[in-house]
Amino acid sequence: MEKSITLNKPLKPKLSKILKDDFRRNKVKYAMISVIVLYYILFYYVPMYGTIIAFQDFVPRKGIMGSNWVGFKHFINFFNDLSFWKVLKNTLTLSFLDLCICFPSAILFALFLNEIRCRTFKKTVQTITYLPHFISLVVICGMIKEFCGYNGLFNYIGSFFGAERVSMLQQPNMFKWIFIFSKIWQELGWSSIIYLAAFSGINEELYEAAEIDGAGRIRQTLVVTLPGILPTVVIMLVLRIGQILGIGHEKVLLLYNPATYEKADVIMSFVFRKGLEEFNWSYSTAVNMFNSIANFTFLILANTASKKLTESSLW
Amino acid sequence: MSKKMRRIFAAMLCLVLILSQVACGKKDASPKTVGTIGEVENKYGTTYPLNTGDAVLSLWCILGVHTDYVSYEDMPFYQAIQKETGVDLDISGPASGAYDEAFNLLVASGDLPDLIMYDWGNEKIVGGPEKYISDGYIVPLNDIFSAYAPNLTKILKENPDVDRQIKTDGGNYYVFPYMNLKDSHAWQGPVIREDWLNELNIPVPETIDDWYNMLTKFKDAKNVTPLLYLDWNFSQTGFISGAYGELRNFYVEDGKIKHGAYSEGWKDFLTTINKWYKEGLLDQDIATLDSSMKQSRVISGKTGAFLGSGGDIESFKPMIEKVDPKAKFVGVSYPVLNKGDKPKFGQADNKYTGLMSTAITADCDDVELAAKFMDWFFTDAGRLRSQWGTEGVTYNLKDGKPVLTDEVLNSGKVNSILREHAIEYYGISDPDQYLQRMIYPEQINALKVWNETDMKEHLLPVLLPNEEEAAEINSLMNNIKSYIDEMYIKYMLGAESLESYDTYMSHLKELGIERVLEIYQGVYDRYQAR
Repeated sequence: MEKSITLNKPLKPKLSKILKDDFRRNKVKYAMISVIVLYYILFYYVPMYGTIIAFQDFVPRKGIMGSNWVGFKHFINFFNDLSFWKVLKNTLTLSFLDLCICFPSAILFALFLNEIRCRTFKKTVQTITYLPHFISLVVICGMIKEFCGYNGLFNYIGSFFGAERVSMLQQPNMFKWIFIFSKIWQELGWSSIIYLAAFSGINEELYEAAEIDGAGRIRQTLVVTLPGILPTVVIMLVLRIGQILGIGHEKVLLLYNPATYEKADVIMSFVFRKGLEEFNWSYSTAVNMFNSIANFTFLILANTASKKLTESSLW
Repeated sequence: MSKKMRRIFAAMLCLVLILSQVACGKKDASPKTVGTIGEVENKYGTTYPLNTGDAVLSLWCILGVHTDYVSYEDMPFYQAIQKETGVDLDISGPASGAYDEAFNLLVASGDLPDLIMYDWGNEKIVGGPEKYISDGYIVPLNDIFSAYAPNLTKILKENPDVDRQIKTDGGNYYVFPYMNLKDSHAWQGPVIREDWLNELNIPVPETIDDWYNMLTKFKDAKNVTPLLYLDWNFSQTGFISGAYGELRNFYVEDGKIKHGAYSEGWKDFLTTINKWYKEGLLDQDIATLDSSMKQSRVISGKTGAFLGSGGDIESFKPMIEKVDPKAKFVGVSYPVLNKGDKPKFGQADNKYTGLMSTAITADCDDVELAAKFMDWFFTDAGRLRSQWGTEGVTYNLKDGKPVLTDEVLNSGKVNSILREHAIEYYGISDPDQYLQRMIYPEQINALKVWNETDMKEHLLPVLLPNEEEAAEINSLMNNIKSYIDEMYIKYMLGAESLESYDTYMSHLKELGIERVLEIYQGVYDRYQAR
């Protein structure tokens, strides 16, 4: 950093002058943003210091300064761990399904809502679909457990149509579907909000023009609405891909059991177990760090790709 | 909004944690010598209440605040012990339930209270107490016992078998124990709906075949899945598997350490349980059941038999009588293979289990105060207080023996009232109090029946491997344990055919179970040689 400043010596006074002038002009704005910047520094950057323990055999009592350095030991252990491929595969499976089903379903739902002309009905549907989002996850999972039980709602309906009763949460292959469809139920309405907002940004004249050209409603949706919200969709997609390995562990922890471990255990639940249940702070940090780096890489790749293909991107 | 606030709060906590680690790292540049005490001072005197001035002792305990009270300090028990010992306490603890995580965070924070009550002899203490001593969390107590804990020292001298159990392999005392001096009662075992037995004219079952017949009749007559086998908390008891001579845990037989799920007998048990599951005799949601589901199933009459405790009978009885006035429970013995056998396994506790014990931390500046405070629980007054509560309120002395008062026994909430005044997990447990607390005859009968097992001969003492051994066991056992759990449930549900049992055994061997057994054998032999 210092080096670059000395190299650009002629620039330096100019830059500081610009900054000073700008600061004088926008004092209030700087004051306002300083709070946000401070928040990010304190809560997102300072804690990064703690990731050092991924390269140590961390003992809290000895602190970061006093613990032994072990290099990449924990990373190597993780890649050699029997669970590594299992948790990676499960994480990717769940994430992929989430991306292919939950993500488009919100867009589709928003499109449907957009076509509804009766305002009262539209508002009612919206409110009803937002509701599950506000229920605590623990309660949601309690409900899922009851509904999926041997004598639960789904089996009741299923047996009415002649299906055989099964305790669904004990079926490894059903776990991902329960996970995905309960997520749709919980988040569908909430995640469609941003697209509804994007619709209102589309120029009404475009619809009129399309109508004059003889486009029906479906045609209008395809040529006006969808291209209109495409930038939003792309941004949301890029952000979603940035969390591809970070699929929520809370719900997994609340729903899995030994019968479904092989299909349900994901990286974040693995981190939780190692760190908070088995007290392997360093190992758990190493796994989490691997996770973050992988997510970050995916984010950059997705962003670059979208910049090339669609011209809209995060940065 | 509150979620956001919580997140911010959590983030702030993280920051505090990190900063305190930094601070801690600097502080520890010159480690203080732990475990040695200077001259024995006795500055607080030797009679209670101690003359402590304004010294304050901080205590972290895993028992939550009584639900009727706001803070620990409001509870009659803690008020009384502060008054009787003369020590001012600053008590903290986790929200109920999440105490393992809370302990983990406490330890990671680097800011330790003077005393920590936790399951110090448990496998959750990774690396064992010796590692916690050498890492500088807690102090060895040998000198401290002899200097400041005359009451406990006296009791340990009189009970050498307990004395042997509460030391580490290296001969260090590491906690003020929570222990039993007399043999404790079994408090857990099979419970059956007696009214169903009578109605269908079935004798009380003894053997596995009896159980099978009974469950089949229950199923046909009541149209339920009659056996609720909530096993995840109960791998210790060997219910049903005990008939085949195994339980899903380590145990000792003729001086040899064994693991029940690594044996041929285990296969026989799995065959049986799989058959029962398939025929609908077991609750079909077995892997997802939790204790609240257990309660609702028992009370709504969907369950005819379950593994329960005396406390379960006490709390379920009034509830089920509201739904079905005829309902009655009976505690029966653990099933065996042949009529007349004595159950090999069941539920029993060591005199010292390693649970709920209190350690003095390395941050404690006033070891004398901490030790004298803890030693009070081993005096006669302390034992009465922790087990029986307040004289005249919860108990009266009759012929020198404490007896629970009628007001408490007839209150309909015995446990709740007792816990305001007495917290039995400090000091020495009194089985007599437990028996007096049982208000229904069903409970007392059940406890007697459940006690009739050979479990005590097979129970392992608190085994504390040394640091390297503990690390090796830890890394091997994590995989072994989850593999056993996973395969156990799969065989039971029939998701995996029992034909693959040989593969299961050889995979366990690959995972290193024999090495774990070998290490435990060594630790056990050293323990025996003490």
